[in-house]
Amino acid sequence: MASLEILLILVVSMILYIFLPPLLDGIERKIKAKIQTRYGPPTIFQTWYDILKLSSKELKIPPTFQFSVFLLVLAFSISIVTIYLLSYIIISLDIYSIALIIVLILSIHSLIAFISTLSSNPFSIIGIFRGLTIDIINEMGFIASIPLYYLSIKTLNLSIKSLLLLILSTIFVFIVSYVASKRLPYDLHEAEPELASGSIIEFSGPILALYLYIHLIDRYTITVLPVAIGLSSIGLSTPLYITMILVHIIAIGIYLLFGVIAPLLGRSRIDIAVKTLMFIYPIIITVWLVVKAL
Amino acid sequence: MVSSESAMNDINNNETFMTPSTSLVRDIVLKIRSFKDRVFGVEQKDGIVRIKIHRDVLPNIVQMLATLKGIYLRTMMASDERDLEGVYRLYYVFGVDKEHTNIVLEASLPQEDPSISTIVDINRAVDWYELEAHDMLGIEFLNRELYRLVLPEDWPEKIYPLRKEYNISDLIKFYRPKAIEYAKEIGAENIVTIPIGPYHPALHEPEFFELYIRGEKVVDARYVGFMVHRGIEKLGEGMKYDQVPFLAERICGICGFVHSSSYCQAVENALNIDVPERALFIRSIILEIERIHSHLLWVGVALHLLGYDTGFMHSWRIREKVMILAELLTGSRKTYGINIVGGVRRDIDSDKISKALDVLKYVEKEFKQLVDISISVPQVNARLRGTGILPLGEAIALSLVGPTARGSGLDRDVRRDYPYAAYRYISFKVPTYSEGDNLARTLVRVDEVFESINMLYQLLDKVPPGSISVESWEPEPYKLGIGSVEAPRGEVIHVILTGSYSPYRWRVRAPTYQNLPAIPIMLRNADLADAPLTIASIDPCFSCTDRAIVVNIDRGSIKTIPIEILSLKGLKAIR
Repeated sequence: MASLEILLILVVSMILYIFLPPLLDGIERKIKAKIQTRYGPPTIFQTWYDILKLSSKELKIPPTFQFSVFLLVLAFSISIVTIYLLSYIIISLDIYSIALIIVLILSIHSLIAFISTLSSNPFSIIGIFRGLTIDIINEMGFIASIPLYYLSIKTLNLSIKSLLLLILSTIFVFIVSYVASKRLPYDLHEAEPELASGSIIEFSGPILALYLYIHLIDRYTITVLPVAIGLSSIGLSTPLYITMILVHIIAIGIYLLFGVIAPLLGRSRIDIAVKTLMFIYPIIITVWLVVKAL
Repeated sequence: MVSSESAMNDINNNETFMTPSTSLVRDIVLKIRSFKDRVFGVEQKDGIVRIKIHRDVLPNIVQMLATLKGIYLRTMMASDERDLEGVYRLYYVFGVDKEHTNIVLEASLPQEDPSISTIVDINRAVDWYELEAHDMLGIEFLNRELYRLVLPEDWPEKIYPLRKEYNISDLIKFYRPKAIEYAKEIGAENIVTIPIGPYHPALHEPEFFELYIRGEKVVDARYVGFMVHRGIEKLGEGMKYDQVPFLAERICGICGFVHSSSYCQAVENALNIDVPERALFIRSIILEIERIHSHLLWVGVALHLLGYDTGFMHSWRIREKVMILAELLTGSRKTYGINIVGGVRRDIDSDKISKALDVLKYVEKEFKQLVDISISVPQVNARLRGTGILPLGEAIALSLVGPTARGSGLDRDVRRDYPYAAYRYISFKVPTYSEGDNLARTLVRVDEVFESINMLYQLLDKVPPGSISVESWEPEPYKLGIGSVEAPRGEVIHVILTGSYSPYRWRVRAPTYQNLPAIPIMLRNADLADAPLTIASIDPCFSCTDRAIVVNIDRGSIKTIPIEILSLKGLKAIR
């Protein structure tokens, strides 16, 4: 019975991971439109329709881009493994699974970056090197933030110091998640007008659809990861399926909160973005360590 | 036809010397007259001092003007006057802002030898004017490199479109784009050519910038423009006086009214037409409404380029109210068509004035809120401040105009310096900032929106009673007139030489023509990411004449399709 319940939770959770990201993007687009006093897409399923429409288009691959399809499929496969592990840590959380999830997420980012460098298009090259620059800094933050966050939860008690550590690490982990989601002001790899689409300029049809889908899954998984770690570490006494639903509900809330923040900001510039992140991350880590040492 | 030699003698014999009234202009004229027999006459009328000079002394005079402060090249008109006096003539229009006076240096070139020394080494702003005069009239400028600027590379040699022996139908026979040959070359059965190749990264217009970058820094930039030449000046020479304002208004899709106003003012100036005050007020009202919606459009585009699309959407939401107001007052959201020589065609009443005041209050409140929020967005502020810097010295050297000049601390505004329409009846400030960066140019425009609203309150309050146009007027040939208007992008200047039924020569100079050479300077050492905003910071306005050309190789035919029809009907428009 327990095995069946676990199996059901895994299946339902994975279905949610597969189905939700484009749907959430549709809702985010509607929210953005509302903030900007426009109608936006006709339905919240619009991103799904976009992906399906792109998938039905003719496959066009630029000459230097032949391997991109295989690499994208590989990235997609790793995404599926990641969402399986994310579903699994709700059932059984261990530090190795978390480490593996981090490695898998970073692998997806690296693969996507590598695909863009295959192009000889200067817009793509400039765009992806901007993306890589942000990724390198943010992924260091990613690697640092998750253990701090995990430690803060594991050592949580009712003292002010403990709460302060949790607040600091939670802020840290969600800043990292936000930057990794490549929303404004950090969508430098593709959205700058002088780059005309930047790193994704050579993507079209099914390739663009696959890229878009992987990107949206990635966006959702990096939002879910801290929530899943948090709820699993606390050790709620609720049934597992309730925990699983809670994880998704909270993650959806944070995802949409990110969607509200993005339209309120402008786009950064690579040097400003680097300076900002290089300023914020060490400060948070230092303050956390100082509070911990006190 | 009169021979050029006798024409030159006639000019010498008909010397007329007048002494201008204002001090700096008087000094300039006295200095120019020191060239004695090389100066043939000085005339003054309505803020224009015309000085006829020998072509040999032009560089010396321009050199002398270059040493004086507050004088800049506003435009240059080359004209084929072989039918009149057997010469080509160049009119260099220099503005003396503080004394509200234009000094026009007129140099005649005999038709057998239409050449003159270049002055580009003395005044950099004249560069494109000389190249254009060479392209369009075959004027030779000595001691400089001459290359095609306005005409396409494959335009036939020795065919100069603005020479009087060619009319429009001749020119069409002489030149057709080699679309069929190209289609055959690439083996296309039925191709569609849409000139989006050379495109603006921000404003989607036919122009091209080549940026040379090292890492993320722009080392240098090259501009390639004049992709589309509409031949508007030539077209105007074949139209009646009152038809031209409708053509002039189509020069620009955003601020067309400045062109029809400028043209009408030039004709009115040349023929001494006394325009009723009510018409002058209506012109000023519409011009300021046009400035507000143009600046709101620009602010929106600038915010979009900075990734702040929320600001872009709200700016255009506010702008929409202004467009509806324009429609209320003129009958059209754009391309109003109410200007005629001697006045306007459409009156405004008290009901419209009251509605206009309501809209202005709304725009003032909403725009203030938008600016406060937008400028405080960290990324917007950081990317506007200190980027795309244009030093004051460069702005002076290139005779820049409008918010581009005022953002570099060059206090120049035609509304105050050469008052026209109803601006002399109201008080207003000219916002200037000395930083010369993208933020300064933005703040100039922001301040101008509020200043325009303030001006509109005054104008709407003071509209005098009376007629809105003169009852009649008679054309008189070969009179020179200048009309200039402070457009949202800077000064527009139209120079006209009247004919019996149509303009004999009509010269249009839009602000982008004057401001574009500044862009490579702004781009040097800028970050690549700031390039689109820096380019857009002069609010460039290129010709918006994209057309699809359908080439049918079998029939050997070419059909042009307006881009909007193409967007509506898709491929059906081509079949």
